[in-house]
Amino acid sequence: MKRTTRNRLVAYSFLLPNFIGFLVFTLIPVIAALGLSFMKWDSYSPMRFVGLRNFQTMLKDSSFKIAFWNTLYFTGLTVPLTIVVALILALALNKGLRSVKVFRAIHFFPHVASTIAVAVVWQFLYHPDMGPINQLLRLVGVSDPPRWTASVTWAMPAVIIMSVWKSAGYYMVMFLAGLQGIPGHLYEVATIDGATAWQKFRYVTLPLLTPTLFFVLTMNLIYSFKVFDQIYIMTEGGPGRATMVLVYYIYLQAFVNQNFGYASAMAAVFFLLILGVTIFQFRLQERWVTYLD
Amino acid sequence: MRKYGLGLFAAVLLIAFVAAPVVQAQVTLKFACWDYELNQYDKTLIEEFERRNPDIKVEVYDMPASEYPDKMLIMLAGGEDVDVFYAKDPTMYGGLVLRQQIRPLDDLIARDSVDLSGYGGNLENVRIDGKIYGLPYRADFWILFYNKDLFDRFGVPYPTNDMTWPEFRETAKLLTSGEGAEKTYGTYIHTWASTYFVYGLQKHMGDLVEGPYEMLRDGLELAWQIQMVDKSAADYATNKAMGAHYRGLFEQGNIGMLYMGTWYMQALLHDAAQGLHNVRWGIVRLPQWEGLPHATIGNVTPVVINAKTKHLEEAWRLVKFLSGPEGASVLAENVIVPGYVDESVFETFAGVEGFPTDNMEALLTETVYMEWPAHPLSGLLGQMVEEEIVLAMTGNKSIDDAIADMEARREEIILLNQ
Repeated sequence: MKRTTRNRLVAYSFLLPNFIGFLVFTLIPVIAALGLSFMKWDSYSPMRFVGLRNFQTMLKDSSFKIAFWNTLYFTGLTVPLTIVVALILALALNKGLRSVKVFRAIHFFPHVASTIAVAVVWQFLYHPDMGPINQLLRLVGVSDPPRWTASVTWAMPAVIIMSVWKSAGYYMVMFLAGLQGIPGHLYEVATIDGATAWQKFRYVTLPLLTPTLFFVLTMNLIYSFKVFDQIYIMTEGGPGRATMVLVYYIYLQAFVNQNFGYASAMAAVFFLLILGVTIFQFRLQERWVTYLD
Repeated sequence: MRKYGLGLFAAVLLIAFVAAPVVQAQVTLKFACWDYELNQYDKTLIEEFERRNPDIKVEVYDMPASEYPDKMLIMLAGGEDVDVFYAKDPTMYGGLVLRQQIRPLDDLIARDSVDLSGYGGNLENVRIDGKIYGLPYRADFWILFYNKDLFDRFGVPYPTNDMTWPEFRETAKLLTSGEGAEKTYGTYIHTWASTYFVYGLQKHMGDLVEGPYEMLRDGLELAWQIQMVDKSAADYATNKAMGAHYRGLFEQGNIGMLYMGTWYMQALLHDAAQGLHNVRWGIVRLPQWEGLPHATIGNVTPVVINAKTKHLEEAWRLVKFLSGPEGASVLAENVIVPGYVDESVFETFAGVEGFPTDNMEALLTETVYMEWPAHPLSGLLGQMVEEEIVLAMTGNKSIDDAIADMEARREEIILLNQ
């Protein structure tokens, strides 16, 4: 056996355990789901091949359309808001002081808490009459505060606000890591050149933070598309279908209505959507992400 | 010590030899139900069955009530050999029949000439395309519970069996007063969709799969008036956000009337025995619409046999036991309305400590409509009807629009699921 072949085999044998896990628990189910999307199946009766019918159904299904747009709505607002909040927090807490560490921990805390528990608490905070949020709003003179999760207009913003609160701390830590990676001498040079604080941020911090920003943007987009827990607990997709998002609708079709074929077809479309957005992002990154040599 | 050890060994051997033939002859049946340990009455039944049938051992799969239909479905899909189980409601039952997962029992009923008269009208609700796939084990229906202390405090006469919904609304107003901890509400309307459509089904206009949704209008108007105009009940959004539960609220003693299923009788007695409340409660028939014959809404729980069972004879014996007079008497002792009803059931109820005996007629039913019929689209339509009811009851949509949209969305669902 040639030496290189043997080396390669040794390397593969190290990869094998992990790959088997991936194969059994991820790859095969994903391929099976893709196959299922051309079937009609209620998990018990024999599967029936229906060709593209599940995909045609999607085009006619008003709930699917609503869920699709709601997912874009949620993502379109959650991602930029989370990034802005996380960045502001990171900039404010990027100091070596002891007290700052306490604040970092406080802001990271929502990420550690279970989404389910947090969503239950927020559901109470949003209570139209007795919830602390509306009591506060009334106190400062808002006579007719939003009815939050009970209102078709405000249910989605309510979920978005809660989601931003929940994940901003996590991305703050990412940004902090990115900020610490920027060499200090660049700021010294900028100071000597007479740059203002804003100029330092705009021309030193921001460009060198773009790799982190890219990572945060990609992860956050994927996580936002996948939103489920908050919806499941806080609104159940309601009132009506106001917060019906794709993953929740897929869940309903699969596990409540036993419509596994249709649910798989929607999951396939959903997968393509995320894949498309991610590829688009990677293409775009060459234009705006700066890597320090 | 060694001597004793040897003796013990001999004794064990002896027992093993003696017991062996019995053990070998025993058939193990697998039985699934919900809240077995929590509720105890199924446990009483199964233990009694095992005592009377020493050749059968029953292995129980115990699941939480809320997860039962889903888990059962997954177990059956996975080929789990459960022999006997409950179909929790007509929707689950209909699905099982549709997928041919359970076995028609007509041949066995005929062979053993089982007396079906005790099931009364419940039998019609387990008959699908002329065949009986399960025998009714429980048969709950909606009645009105009321708090006698509260009625006495406000000097309002107790409700009667012929109360109408407009009278219900007026009575609720009389019982509403106070603020904060002293606040009393005339009624509480629970956050299930069924709580909002029971009134509609009482219109005798058909079921929610095929009947016109126009039937829901008066009931939704009534609920809206009670919650938003009279404010004699907390509104839907408040209850939902608080995760309100009828059990705790009624037992706090500041709710005058509560329309709910007969399953609540058992819980009320149980909670009182635990010292959780001291509400003096009474029951009357579900209020009705003026000029229409009385009807209430119900839910039948049939006990069924897996089509793939390998122990049909033993399974059938368990089904007959659970759904027959023996099962009924154990359920009655626990104040649960069995599918098999004879006079002894009500006598047993009346004999239970704390049961209000002043109005046993409340439990007599003429017409019982199912919440959802055993129909393949019940699940999808149920989701849709609930969404529209919530929109109307949270003021996001007018009742007119909600009803019109229900009709339109039903068309869509039927079209998409042809």
